[in-house]
Amino acid sequence: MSIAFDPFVITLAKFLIEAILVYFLLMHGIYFLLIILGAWEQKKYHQGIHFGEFKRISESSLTLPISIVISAYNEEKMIIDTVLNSLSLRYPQFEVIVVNDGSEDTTLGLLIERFKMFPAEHVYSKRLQTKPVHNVYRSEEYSNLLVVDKDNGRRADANNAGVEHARYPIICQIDADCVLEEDALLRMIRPFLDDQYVVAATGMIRPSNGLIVHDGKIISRGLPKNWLPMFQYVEYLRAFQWARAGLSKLNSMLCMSGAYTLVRKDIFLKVGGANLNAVVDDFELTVSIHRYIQNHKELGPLRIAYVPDPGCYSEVPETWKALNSQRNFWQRAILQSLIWNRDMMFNPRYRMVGMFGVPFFFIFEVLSALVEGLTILLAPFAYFVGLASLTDIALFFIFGVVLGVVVSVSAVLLQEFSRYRQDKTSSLIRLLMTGFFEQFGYHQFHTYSRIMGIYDLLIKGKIAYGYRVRTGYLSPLDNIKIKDRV
Amino acid sequence: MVIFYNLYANHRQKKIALSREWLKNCIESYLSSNLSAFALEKLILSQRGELVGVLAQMSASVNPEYQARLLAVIPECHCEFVISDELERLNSRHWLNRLNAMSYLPFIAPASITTQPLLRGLKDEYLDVRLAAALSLSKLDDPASIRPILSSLALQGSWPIERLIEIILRFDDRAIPILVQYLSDPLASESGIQVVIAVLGHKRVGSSITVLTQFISHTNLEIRVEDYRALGRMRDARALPMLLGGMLDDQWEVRAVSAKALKYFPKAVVINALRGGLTDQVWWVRFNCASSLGALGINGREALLHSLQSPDRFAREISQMILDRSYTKVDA
Repeated sequence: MSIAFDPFVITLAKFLIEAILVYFLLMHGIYFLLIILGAWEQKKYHQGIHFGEFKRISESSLTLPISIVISAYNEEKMIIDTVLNSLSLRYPQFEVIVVNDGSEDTTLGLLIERFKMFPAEHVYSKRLQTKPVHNVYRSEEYSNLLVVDKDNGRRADANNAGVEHARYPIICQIDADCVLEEDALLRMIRPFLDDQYVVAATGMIRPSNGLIVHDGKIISRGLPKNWLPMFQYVEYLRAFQWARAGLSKLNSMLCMSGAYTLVRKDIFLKVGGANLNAVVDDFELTVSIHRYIQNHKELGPLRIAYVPDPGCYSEVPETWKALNSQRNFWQRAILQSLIWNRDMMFNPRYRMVGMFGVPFFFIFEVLSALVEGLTILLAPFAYFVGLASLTDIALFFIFGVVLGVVVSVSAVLLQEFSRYRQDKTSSLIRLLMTGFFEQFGYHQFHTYSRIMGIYDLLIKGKIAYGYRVRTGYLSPLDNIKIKDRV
Repeated sequence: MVIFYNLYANHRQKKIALSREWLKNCIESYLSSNLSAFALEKLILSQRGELVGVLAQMSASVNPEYQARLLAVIPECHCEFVISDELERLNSRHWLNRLNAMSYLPFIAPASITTQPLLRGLKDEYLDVRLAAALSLSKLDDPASIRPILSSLALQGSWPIERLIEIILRFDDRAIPILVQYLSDPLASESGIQVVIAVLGHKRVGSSITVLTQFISHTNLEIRVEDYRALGRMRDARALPMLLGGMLDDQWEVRAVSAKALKYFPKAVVINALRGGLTDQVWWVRFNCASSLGALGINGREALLHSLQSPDRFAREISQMILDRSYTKVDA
């Protein structure tokens, strides 16, 4: 069956089909190379850790003190565990600053009650614009805990307020739903101690769904129970464990996760802090730091380091609605930042960031959703005009699925040959199955969310986050219940 | 295939963890005289591959007396072959093997055996191996190894100077004469001098002030800055004239460091110098001057109160900020 069309339209469609084929091959090829590069980086990282390395760092008088900034907005389900977890970290000198960003729930009350907080004077140098701060609280129990209570101004504003109250030269930004490994800060500070030109470092994040946490301590690290967080687990593995390490090797890593990042306070202030107008401040902050580095080459080979060590766990959405909201939000953030920084695209002045990082994120992170959408529209058209038979179209989609499965399964398999091998074979089988099934439904939903993200930003001008729900950590009691049920 | 590998690797890992735990318990039983040397020797022979790691782990987490006792385990059980194996690994072609051997040696053998091989390790082609050798030498605490460490690691641009300062700081006070002597060595590298000055400052060696004075007019700015910083750390009145001189230096880095260091000297002349620095053209100098005045007690705070009337807007604001902060501290 074929319908007659203008020859130009047919030629254009033919060209588009071929271009899409090349595009997907190129995209998955680059991802595959990044995964290999990331694996290589991780091997090098582990080889560089000597016997007693973290003990040495924890005992050294020269280890830089850190201010941990936790921004919290309506986080009553998780905030106590997160703060307890931060306070129990193994690190010689650090403070924890919780910024209550105008929460409408009991976040502040819980903090005041649990940590015996009292209002205190705190003088600081006002260098960033933030929403008004109502009160600063200190704890009777923990001398290194500070709570800043302020008007709601979104995460960037809260982070800026936290950094202004920070005393130490290194800032560690974490989200209120994050839980850190006991020696996470020791691992993250290492690049700063080894290389004076490191201005920021970001680490590997894994989903905390499935993690059992009690009094802020991680009791066990299981895989999520449900399929949706499992899909995201594999996605995190692919993106954080490998691709980001590969991008970092190419000095093109444009997204330090706001959930787990260390940055020099002076650099944070010099780039003007977190951008209040950005959809998400972390992507924009990373690009700003890259811009600063390239505009100040006279300061030496400044760089952003990546620590390929899973030191942080963050909750991922458990419902399709929340996932849609999150991915829509991320897509808007990347697109907005790339639009703002479009002058960096293919600009040799910005070296690898300009010549590879920014174009890579634009062509393969932003446009891939649109290209996939276009493919779905083009397929019936190609069939109706006789450009492709049903078998051709089926083969084309199978080819796309196979490419996606190869990349995801490679990420899982590579992990098996690393230090972070699954300690249960059943978990490995689950991960492999997830890598396969991810391509059937989840991936298409993800593409839809991203297309809507582009639409929401460019047409509606939407900035706000959207729907979000916290489930909280599993407690040892939950685990007993699960076992009993089994 | 990967699933089979996973099964095998997990099984192997569990087996290693169990045999390590078992070996550790056996060594502890031996040390508490519940197990004979002969029995331990037989057990070690069956778990030969794990002994070095177990001894190193145990030694790293206990006090020096117990460490000495652990060192004696190998000769008492006639297991010197373990040391020979590690010494052999120092000649391995793979740098990671050499690095691991360098890291483990001080935990399994006495200084008489390990010092020379470790000193040779300082000349390794890999920086990481040299670093491991230096760390192990600092654990042995033989001051004679300081010079070779400085010669092989105090190289411009190799890694932040703090790493080397940290290693040298691990040596006890017997290192001080060697460090002071190094400063007068014409062959000493500039990075080495910077490291030694920093270490003397951290250790607060008052007797080295005379030597440190020679470096306040050094041509290398980094050495000068480190020198003023070290003089400040001494908190010794003999360093005061130099620090006051530093406030008049051409380089702002020196003025900033001197201003910070002066907070330990509550004298009228210091307060005057710091008040003068409040109108310096560089922000960091002004900030450090104000912070130091805030730390100098009532007289310093009075000077800040005077500065509230200053025609310079920054001097007024920074004084106000520091005053607020110091009152808060007093109230707390």
